Amino acid sequence: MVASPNQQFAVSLEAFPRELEGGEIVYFTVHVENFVSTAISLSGFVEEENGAVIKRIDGFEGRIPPGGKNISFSYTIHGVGNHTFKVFLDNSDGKPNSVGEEHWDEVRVEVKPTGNVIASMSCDPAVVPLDGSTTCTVHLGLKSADTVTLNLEEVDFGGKRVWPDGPSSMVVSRKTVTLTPANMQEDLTVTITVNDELANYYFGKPVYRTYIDKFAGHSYLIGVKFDALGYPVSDAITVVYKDTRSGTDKAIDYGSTAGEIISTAQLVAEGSNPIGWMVFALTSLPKFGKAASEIQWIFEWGVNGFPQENDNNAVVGG
Amino acid sequence: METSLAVSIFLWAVLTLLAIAYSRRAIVCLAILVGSGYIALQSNSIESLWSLIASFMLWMATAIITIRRNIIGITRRDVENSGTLVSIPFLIFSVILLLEHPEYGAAGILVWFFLWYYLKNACKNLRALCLLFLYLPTILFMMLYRTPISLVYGVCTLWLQKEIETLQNSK
Repeated sequence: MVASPNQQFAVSLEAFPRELEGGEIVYFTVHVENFVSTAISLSGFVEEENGAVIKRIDGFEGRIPPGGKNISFSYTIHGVGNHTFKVFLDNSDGKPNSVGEEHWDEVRVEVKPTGNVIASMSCDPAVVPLDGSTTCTVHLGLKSADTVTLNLEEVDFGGKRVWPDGPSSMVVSRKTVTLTPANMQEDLTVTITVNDELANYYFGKPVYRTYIDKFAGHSYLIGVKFDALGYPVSDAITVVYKDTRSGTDKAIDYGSTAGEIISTAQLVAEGSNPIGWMVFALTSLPKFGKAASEIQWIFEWGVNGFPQENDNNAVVGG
Repeated sequence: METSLAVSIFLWAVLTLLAIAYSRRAIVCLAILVGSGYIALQSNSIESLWSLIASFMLWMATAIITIRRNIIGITRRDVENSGTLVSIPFLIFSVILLLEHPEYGAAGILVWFFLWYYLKNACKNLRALCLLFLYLPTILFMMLYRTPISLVYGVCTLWLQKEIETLQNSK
């Protein structure tokens, strides 16, 4: 860490171990040094080379006392190759936009193959809006000439099995890959659409609409398992918010708010009338439905929240 | 939380505060409603959720009637229209049906329109037929969702019945 005289803070990123075989848990530490005499509030993230956020730093965790602080988390890495992780922190808005004092650091972790098969996966795009999709390409290769047949066994999304027997939001290009001395490299793709159907499968279906919005603001590990491979290959994607409501849904949301207020006021001020009661009942319905869905979410009543994890990272299932 | 939902929650909070300020029955009914919700949650009986939503809607509807009676007072029109209020539980039942069985829900709302004008004259006093119409939706909820939690709809209906009686007794 090299500091200039006007610098408030400095950051560095460390990973252990930095060389893995097949893939395993890596422990990361973000070292932050605070050069001023009071506590400072920083925010930012740690991301993979493709832009998927694996750790968010903000709030209490981003509060750095005088002297400095270490922020630790763990993350499971699979997929043969070099993986670069970058940390970003700033003292204004947590976004790399040249506003405030911003610092980056990076660390490289290498995953080596354990057997003859070299497998890795990358998802593009890594940042997916709601209702958007990403294509994860699994690269399979051989170190030495051989004949190997790999059968796709399972695809996991955010710690939950989504293929086979999952939603149609998951599409795999093929189930079997055969590598031969004449054909030592093959690809297989998995396309995932972050839609209502995936939400209904992942969280369960609430009484009203879906929990698709709950996907936003988190990252998800996508893991692919093959029978002839002792470890899965994986990559993370970050899901960002987008208003997925249809025009009708929006009209219902805004219209019902207005209808509920007007009909209530009218029923109180003028007394009972059929139109007032009908508008009241019809416009309350979406609101009560939505409120009930939120209660279901809070108490996990007939639906599931995110799996419990103690890794302190931002990746669900990773 | 979405703004539109936050606005509704604010409106419900205002109605709830006003209703419990004016009526002890509102408090008792709300306590039973919340207690039933807690039991349903503990026993994980998800099928009772719609009955609870309907009960809360009926609670709000009765709250509006109570709030009007306490703020504005009872007008002659309120007394004349008191019979129509017997149809409110049926309206909420039909509206709840809309989400899962839209065709039955829409038919129910249509029937409710006729019921409104029929009950206006037929239920100037709460005779047996009117009580049947009043509690029919509770029975329908119990049949549809097959849970005793649906009885809470009957509890809210009882509060509505008392409100209608108050209006009719002020003649």
